[in-house]
Amino acid sequence: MNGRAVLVVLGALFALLTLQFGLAFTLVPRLVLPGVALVMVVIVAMSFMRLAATGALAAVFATAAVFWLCVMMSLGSMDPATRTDIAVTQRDVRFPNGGFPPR
Amino acid sequence: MSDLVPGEPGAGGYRAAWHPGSESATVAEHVGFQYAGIGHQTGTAQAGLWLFLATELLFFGGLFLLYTVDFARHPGGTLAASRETTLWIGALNSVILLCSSGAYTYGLGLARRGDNRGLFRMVLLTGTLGTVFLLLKGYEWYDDIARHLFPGPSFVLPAADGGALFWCFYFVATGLHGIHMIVGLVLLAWIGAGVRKQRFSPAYYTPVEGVGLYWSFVDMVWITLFPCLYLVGR
Repeated sequence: MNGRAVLVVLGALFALLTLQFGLAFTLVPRLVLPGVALVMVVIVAMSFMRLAATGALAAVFATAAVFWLCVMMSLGSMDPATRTDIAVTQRDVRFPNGGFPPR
Repeated sequence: MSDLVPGEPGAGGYRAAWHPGSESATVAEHVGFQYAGIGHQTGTAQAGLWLFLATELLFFGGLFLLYTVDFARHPGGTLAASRETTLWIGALNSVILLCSSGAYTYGLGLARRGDNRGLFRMVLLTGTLGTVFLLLKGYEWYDDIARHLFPGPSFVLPAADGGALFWCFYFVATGLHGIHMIVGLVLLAWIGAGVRKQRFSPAYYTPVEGVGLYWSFVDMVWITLFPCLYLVGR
């Protein structure tokens, strides 16, 4: 990358960092903050790391890594994210019918 | 590459086919015997490095999964604990790391054009910014420990509310990131020494590119850590 392109990318990254910083002091859902970080990560991968211009094998490795990361994050956080009947923090609750919650 | 003779002695098994002193002969010194040429070697090196970064992504991914589950279990405690982090240091370190990645990428462009002096300056600038990052992080850790935020008997926050878990994550995640930064600084020193010895040219700069990928990845980890540690509780 030439100096001008680097400055443009840095400008975009600083703008997003400022946006993220500003959003942190508002009432937006907290999930938005790592969401902005994700956009910054994509910009770094595509510009500084030149992911789009790299070889096919490297692109396969990068795609596979993101895929397995998504699998790990979604499966790992599925229980605390979808639990509605018993809060995760109430793990010591015992039910009389053999440990299952009432229907 | 039609003038190459596979199997001849010399680096890459092809060196004997190139004219001594030519750029091709200089490049051939860097080509391993198992590669058909510099393009094959560079492509393999890039793919190998991306594979390594894939393992690193899953390594840090496990850490972020831990954070997600911890946040779901103790949202209030995590937000309260996050408010105790030193925001100005985290924000300044984010700016420093972004600048260091930009400087190194600019240096990589100079390497492609054969400007070794410019590349050396950019490597030096990147290393200096990385060192400043680590010094600030070290001061922040010192301050955190002085304020009894290290999980243990004198921990200042209510431990049962998830505060201790958050600060465990904080020290483990920033510690691992710091170790990666130190490795990155060693690699930068290696690249700097290589530039001084005129090891790199527009035809061969694979190690410069590889270290750039690693440095940008470490930057990406910090970009993700920053909102999770410093901003969520504000």
